[in-house]
Amino acid sequence: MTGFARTRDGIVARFDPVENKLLRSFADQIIDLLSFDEMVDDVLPDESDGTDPFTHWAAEMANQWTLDDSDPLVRRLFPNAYADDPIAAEEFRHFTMDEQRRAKVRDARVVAAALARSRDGKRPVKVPPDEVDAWLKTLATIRLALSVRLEVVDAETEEALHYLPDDDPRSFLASVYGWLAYCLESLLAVLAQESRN
Amino acid sequence: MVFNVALPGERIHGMTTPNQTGGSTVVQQSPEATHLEAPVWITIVWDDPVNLMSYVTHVFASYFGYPRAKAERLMLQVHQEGRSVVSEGGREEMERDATAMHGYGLWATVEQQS
Repeated sequence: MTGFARTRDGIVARFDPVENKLLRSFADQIIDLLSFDEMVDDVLPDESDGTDPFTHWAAEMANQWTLDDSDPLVRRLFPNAYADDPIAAEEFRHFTMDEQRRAKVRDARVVAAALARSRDGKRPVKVPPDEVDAWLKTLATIRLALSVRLEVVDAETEEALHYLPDDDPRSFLASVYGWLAYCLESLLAVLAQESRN
Repeated sequence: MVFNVALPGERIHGMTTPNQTGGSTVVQQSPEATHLEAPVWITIVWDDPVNLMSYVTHVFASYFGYPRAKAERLMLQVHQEGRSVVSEGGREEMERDATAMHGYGLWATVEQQS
């Protein structure tokens, strides 16, 4: 039975090889989308020790290059915190976006590493307490990414995903989107059980 | 970033702050006033078509430490009314809360309580 469960040794996740591969691929895509460290390395001079102003500038520029606000996924993952105040909204993004981005990459890496340790699903994936949040957030992030790809904008378009004909080109991703909801529910159910005990 | 310099919990002497929604009103200072009404900021979580109700409830209980019943009530308010005020306090604190909500994939905004 795939999904999360409570065992004697704590929370474990079981995925079959296909599910394992799929989840790992999505985690890697999140990492690729949100990482810019490689780009920074390209622009840094070799002798930089990371503390000079040039490093800071390069990091800021790379940040602006890679996170494209016209991308609906970027807008959804890093939403506006001030609905009616564009100046405050811009300040907020300026101060928080980089840390947010790094946190999502860290969490996706936790999930990718855990899946890698499961040897393509041959072993259960252990989820220690300090990794639970990384799983919750990464599953949520992947679902958001899929929802943007599937052009879910409201309750109606979301609902429609559950009734796609098999030959609809979106039906594979829609079924993955549904499966991820099941995974997230199963982890939440395990956590809810634990908080009641 | 804005610094919140007001003294929390202090009210302008002799003035009441009626408000249908139960919040307090920020009032302009007269030069003789010796107390400052701390501007109250709120974090609002907005409904979205993607996040699961169980997930939203978990986030409210886990991050804010709300008891399950309160977390569920707030989640239902988001779901049924489109939005819910999930916390209140100083502006920086609300920005931290909104940031945390975004970290979980929820959509939150910050505004001054009216």
